Amino acid sequence: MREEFAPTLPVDTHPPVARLNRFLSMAGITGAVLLLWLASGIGVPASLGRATDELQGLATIFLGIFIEALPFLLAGVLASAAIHVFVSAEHIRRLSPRSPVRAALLGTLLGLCFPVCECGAVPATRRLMSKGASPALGIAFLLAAPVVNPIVIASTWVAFSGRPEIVAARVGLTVVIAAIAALVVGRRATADALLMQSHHDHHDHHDHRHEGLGARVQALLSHAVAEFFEMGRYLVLGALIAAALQTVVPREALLAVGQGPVFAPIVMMALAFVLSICSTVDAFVALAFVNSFPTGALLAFLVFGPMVDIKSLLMYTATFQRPVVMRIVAVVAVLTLASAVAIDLVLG
Amino acid sequence: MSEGISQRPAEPPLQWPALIETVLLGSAAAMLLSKTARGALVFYIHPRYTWLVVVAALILGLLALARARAIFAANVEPGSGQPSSYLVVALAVLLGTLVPARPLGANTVSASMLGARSGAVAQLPQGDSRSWDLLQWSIARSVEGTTLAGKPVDVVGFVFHEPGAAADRFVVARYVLTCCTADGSATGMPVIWQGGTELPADTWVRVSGTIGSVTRNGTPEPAIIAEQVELVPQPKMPYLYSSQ
Repeated sequence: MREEFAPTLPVDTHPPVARLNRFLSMAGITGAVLLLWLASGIGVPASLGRATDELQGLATIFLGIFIEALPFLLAGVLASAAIHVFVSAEHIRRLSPRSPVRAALLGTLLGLCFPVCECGAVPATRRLMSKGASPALGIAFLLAAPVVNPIVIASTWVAFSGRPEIVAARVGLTVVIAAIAALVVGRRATADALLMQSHHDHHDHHDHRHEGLGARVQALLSHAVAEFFEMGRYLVLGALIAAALQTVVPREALLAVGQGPVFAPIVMMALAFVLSICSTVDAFVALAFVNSFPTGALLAFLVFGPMVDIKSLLMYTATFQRPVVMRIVAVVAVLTLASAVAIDLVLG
Repeated sequence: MSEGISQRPAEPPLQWPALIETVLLGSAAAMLLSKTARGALVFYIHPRYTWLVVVAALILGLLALARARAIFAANVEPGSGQPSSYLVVALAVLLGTLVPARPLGANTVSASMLGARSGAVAQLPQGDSRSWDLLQWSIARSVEGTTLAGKPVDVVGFVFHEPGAAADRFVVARYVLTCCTADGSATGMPVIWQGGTELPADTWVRVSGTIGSVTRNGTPEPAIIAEQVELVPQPKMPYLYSSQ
């Protein structure tokens, strides 16, 4: 997946890597062509009809996730491009608190005025951090914004209309876990040490603030497009993996594995990870499990999914250094599991 | 350009990345709009999100127009040219274009999914049981179990064959969605009907009869003793929704 960086690298320095990359891209293209051919059913022999049938099911699930998430990804890249074009780095640096604790707390609440879900939070976070927001603020925003925002709070409220404590616990746990994760990962680090070099950030250093409005809108749109292709790729791959896993491993098999105070939340977290549903709608999905799972496990689903799932994990790895991603995921997973187990033990 | 240099400026080279991006953004927008226009969008997501998808398609169209201006630009745009991204996004657009639009059906049902729904957030259905859909039946089954015997049934669903089922059996099933196909799960009821296995899987049928009982995996379970099985076209809304 690295070949887009190839033009900036001297091609000859790593011939084995280049060869491996070329091999992987060829394998990927071959796989994609095969998938398209079989799923389209055009000229597929009857003996492969079953494969066509199953791949069409996979395509339907994939398109469900992709189409549902697309509007939110677009909102995210437009928000990110708007920050880039209209907000100066000094502005953000001035507003970003010095104290990591305060920065982390501010980050968890920033979603209230930037309503983005996980697909949008990643590009917006990267933009905030590369513009000088402190890492604690950036990571807290990244993890909390998909839940602590008006749209998601409203949809959770609608889904669990009879149980306001679920809404409160979801928001509360998200704020606490996001703040702790942000402090653990981002306390001392600088943004540069955490972020991957973005492909198009190399060219980002010129300031758009002194251009005319038309030029700035034009710049906004072309930055949004560049980021759309950069992030859209991970949405597509994540949705494909999630759809393939769902086709191969039925959800009921997963549910059959886990009951009990520790297993139930683990299963619900695994489910949230695999399903990769947008946080704006996952509360409705959680409803389907109200009677089969205890409250703590439901909350684990509602808190963990928006922070870590297949598609956001792919986006994280494109944005942050690998060890940073692993630390974020580990802290979030441990804290979510611990709080879910504690809740279910207390509620009995 | 007007500095009195006599020779004409060289034709600016085509900006391939801008051209590819324009085509991909434009065809993604077209794919979404054509699915909406043909009524196929409800095969993928809950109809309450249709407006969001239309807005997204319009934004994609706007972005395509913005990129189209750069195709003949003289200077190279920063940040353009991401071959692997283009291929992956193209795959998504092609999957939406080349693969026939088809709702989830018998091809994705696994037999274990078909039990009564325990996530009974919906209310127990009231009134004439002939007006209940398969979701309402599954809720009724999870609460009332076998006391449903003798009630009249009239439901629409697709045909699903459980592996190893008896010759006079099939399952009439329906997918239930909360938001999009990622959370879809099938619900259905066994039907007892002479020649049930001859109905091809995924055929849409209207089944009327009364509730009786079959033994499945060793336990008695409500089933439809069919009086009539009628072939019907696929409904415009192939799914049932567990929340409105």
